[in-house]
Amino acid sequence: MISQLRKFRSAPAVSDLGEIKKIIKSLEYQAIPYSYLDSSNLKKLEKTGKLRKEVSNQIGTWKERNNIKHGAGFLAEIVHLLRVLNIIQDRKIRIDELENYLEPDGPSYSDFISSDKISVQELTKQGYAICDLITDDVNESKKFDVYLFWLFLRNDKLVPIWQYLIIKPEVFKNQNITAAIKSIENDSFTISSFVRWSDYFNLCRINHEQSGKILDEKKVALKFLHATIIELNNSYIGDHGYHVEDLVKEITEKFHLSTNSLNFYNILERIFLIDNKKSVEGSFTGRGEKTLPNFPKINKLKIRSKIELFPQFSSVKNSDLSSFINIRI
Amino acid sequence: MASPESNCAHQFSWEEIPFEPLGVDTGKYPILRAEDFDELQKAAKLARQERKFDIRLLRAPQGAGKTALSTEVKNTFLKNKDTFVIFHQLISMEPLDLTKQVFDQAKTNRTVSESFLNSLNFDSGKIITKPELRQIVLSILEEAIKEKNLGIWIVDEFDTISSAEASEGEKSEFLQWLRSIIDGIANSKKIHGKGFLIIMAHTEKSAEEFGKELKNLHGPLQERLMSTGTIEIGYKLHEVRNIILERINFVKLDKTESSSISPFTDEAISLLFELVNDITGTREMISFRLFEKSCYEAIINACEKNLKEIDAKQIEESFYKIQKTLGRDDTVSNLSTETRMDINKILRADQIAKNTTILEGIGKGITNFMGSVLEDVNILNSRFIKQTETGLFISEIKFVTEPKTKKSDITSVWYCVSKEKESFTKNDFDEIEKELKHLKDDRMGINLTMLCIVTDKEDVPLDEVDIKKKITSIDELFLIDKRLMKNLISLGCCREPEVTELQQPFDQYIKSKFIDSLSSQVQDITYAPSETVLQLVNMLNLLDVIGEDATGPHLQTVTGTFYNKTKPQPRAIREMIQLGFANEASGNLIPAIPKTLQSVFDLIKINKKDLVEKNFPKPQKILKTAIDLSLVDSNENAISIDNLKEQSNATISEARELLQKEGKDDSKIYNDIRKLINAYDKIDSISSQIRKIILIQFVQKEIRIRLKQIADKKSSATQTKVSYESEQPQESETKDMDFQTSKITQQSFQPTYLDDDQLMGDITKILSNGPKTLPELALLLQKQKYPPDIRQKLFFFVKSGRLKISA
Repeated sequence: MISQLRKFRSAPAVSDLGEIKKIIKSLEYQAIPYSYLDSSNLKKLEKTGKLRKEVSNQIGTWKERNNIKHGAGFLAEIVHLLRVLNIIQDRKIRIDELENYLEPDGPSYSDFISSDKISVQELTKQGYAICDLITDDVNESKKFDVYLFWLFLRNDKLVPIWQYLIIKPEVFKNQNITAAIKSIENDSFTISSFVRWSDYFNLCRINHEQSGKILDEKKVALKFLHATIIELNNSYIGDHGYHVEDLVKEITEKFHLSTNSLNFYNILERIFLIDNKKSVEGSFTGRGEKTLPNFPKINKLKIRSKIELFPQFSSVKNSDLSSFINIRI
Repeated sequence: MASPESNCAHQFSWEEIPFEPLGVDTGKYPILRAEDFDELQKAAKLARQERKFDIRLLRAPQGAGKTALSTEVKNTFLKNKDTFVIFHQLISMEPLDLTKQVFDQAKTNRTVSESFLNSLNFDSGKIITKPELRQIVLSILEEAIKEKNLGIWIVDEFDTISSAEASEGEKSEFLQWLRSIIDGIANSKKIHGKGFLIIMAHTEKSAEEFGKELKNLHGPLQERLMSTGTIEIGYKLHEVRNIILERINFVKLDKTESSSISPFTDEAISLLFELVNDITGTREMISFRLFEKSCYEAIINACEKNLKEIDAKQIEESFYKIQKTLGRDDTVSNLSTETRMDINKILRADQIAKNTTILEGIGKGITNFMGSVLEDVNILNSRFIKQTETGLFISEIKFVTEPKTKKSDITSVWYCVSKEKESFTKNDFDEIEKELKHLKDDRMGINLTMLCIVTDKEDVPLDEVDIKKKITSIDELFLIDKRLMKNLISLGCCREPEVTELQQPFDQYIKSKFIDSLSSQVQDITYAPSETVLQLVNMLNLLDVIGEDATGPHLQTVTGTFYNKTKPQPRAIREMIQLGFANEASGNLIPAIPKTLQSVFDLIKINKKDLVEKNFPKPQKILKTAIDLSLVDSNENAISIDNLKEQSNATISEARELLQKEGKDDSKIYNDIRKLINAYDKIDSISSQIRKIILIQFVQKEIRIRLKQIADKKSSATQTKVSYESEQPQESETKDMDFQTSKITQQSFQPTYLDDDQLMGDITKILSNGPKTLPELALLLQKQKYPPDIRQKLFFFVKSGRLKISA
């Protein structure tokens, strides 16, 4: 296990994922040198006389107004996480951007940046997509969370903790979440971050007997169902269909799951059923042996348009959700 | 048969040589308490007598058995029945871990009752807030001291705060939490009136240095610690002599006690004491391990030379021999015990772990030792690729490096190939080449391919030239012999402060070659080419298709003439080669296509844009370069040659007609058009699609310019010249505007980008239906297939006054 895990980096210390929303939103219209604005860097600049006290105070005020914590490393860790999730990317600041302001009455970039070698952070395409989900609308906010979860599944820099966990029956039974994560990862920062993030994504339930918080099979299954819908909407809409077998293989790989750790055949079938032929079309061709479990004549799916992310889930029974997880609990 | 060591021991009538490394840590030799240790006892006594709270920073000597000494501290204080001791190590910057340690210690040593612990309802699996954790620690300490007069809380390995892989923010947060506990103890009514001593023990740095680090992380805690006084435990000369005496008496065959330290002379020990302290820069002995090693070496030397006495000269010789060894190839012995244990673990582990750690070592080396040439380093990915049927283990790591000399990043992949048991054969190299070819897709977007072959099983060094002939898919080869392997594994395993111990082998074997590769091998599009370079590229492609040889100077001259400008400098030619747009062969320049650009184009052409995003470290940047070079349109679709040709038909026909009409005109402008048409007619002889696209666009654009110049010339007598300069941008009014609600009502637009005309046209159309908010405008443009980052451009227009916002 060690050699497999070594390739990943420690999870960034972002204890509250809610914090990232304001950072993403602030990048909608302009790139901001967030790494540069981390308190540890500002302190260093101030100490070496490269930043005037007055400007430093203005930046501090801007942070306070925008509820950005002052702690050294706070911004650096958030930027690291957003970068890892491919929500933002770095690029060198452009000369014309030096005249940008942090806020209307605040300092302009040129007040604290003297070199055009400084990197600014801007939203990626994914970043803009998730940024558009940050609104006061409750449904959009829910979408933001499932979209974020999908980005976590897709990233290849962090240890795929949830992906490893779902193949362990005890995590849904009696092993509390911290102990479960500790059993596959020994980096304390990664452990504590994933414990908190599991909480943020509402993946756990309280086991009153002894274990404290444990992973909830149905909540986890639902998250994977949503993530699969987002994946289909993002990469598979088009006129040509995909063999179910290929879809399962590709999504398994994209989510960094081991083969058979999730039953994607059941997930795809459920999506096909809930969608009720609005966006997903099933067909049968000679190639491709595997079909949807209860549809022996459907081995190919065509995603014609965006599948609704929050359809009527009332038809999804608990037993359906349980059938997504492959292990016997 | 007896070992040479045991023969040597018998020569001095000993059971064994009494300076075995780690002997103290393993409890083999008796520990001798330094006198400074009494300081600690005094502090404890004082805390008890005066019923006060005290906190001390303690630095214990390295190599004198830190673990043993820490246990000694604990055992000494535990002898007093009115004292409780909680002793644990600091393992992380996580409040939960520290709380768990205190809880477990209290439970194991029965410092407090089980029922009390149960009443705390502490479960490390639950989410517990920091204030709750603080309260748990405080409650345990308060309960523990209830029946006692003195409480001692020892936090060993306190210097974990230097090595923990935590951000400064996290460290600072942890120390703040720790300080809140210390303040809690100082102000606790339940502890008030009792003695309480906290000892924070560390080893790696002097108390002063450590204090500085603490101050950076958490000033108030540092002030608290330093103000109460720090204790540095070191051995004085007479204590060192006593340790030697104890050790010798301990191994004597006849078990008689004496006060002689023979075979060492007092003078020898005193000199060694000074030599070691010179190294550590201290007046007292804090690196007992080095002292011990030198004594061991001196004894072995004395045996070899059959000497009965070890004098100052002998000990000096041995000391320098040890020093030299440390500097040459035994760097590992200078590392901490934890690191050495990790190294040994990896050396005993499977090939996968070895490969991974070697590559991690290289990663650490590049990150730590190449600051003079690299601005920034990012590790993208590290993975084990496969074990081949022939027993080759292949792993890889990818880095994005930002060289100080380059304008942009360079991405490199490092493969590490090793074999479990046997040496490499010639067939293995064929196999490696085959595997690397299979991994071609994996190298999309990669500028440099490096291969490390681990040759630890080889008796005879492999021939690098031979291997390079067989393995052609790489830019550089590194043969990692046994010693270098150990050094890289050590680098991969070592803690951050230890990296400098391993710099020399990295610099010698990896850094220099990598720097060479960065400067000479990377011929790829690592940054956007300048206009001059693009002009050179265009002209080179033109000369090539019309069959004209192009040396560097010739290309400079024709480019200057064609564009009516000073001829480009030779450095622009070098830049063109560097960016991968040309190769040099026998003095002539041959057009080429940068490999990254080719990969991106190929993927986009087959609708695999997702693979660009997956495989390229900075996909947006590369896509932007492809867009800038007009290989890809703004919707990130590949440009079709047929469409291009169709678009240029009118221009080409117009040019042909003109040439027919003005066939005799021999002026430069007409000759340029002839040359361009000639190139266009031969375009199908080019096999590279990218080169075709570049050339068609170049031909079309340059012909259009010249046709316009000719038309302008003809009508200049009768028409007034139109100024394309628009009004000066108005002062930005963005400062008081809320983008979400303010409407855009009018615009005065000045194109700055190639496609700004088109964008402005679209904006005008949208706004003609009434004012829009910025988000509305952005959304409508996105619906017209503009990319989402159009918002940045809109913001730029608003800021520069080109779009006006009204309240």
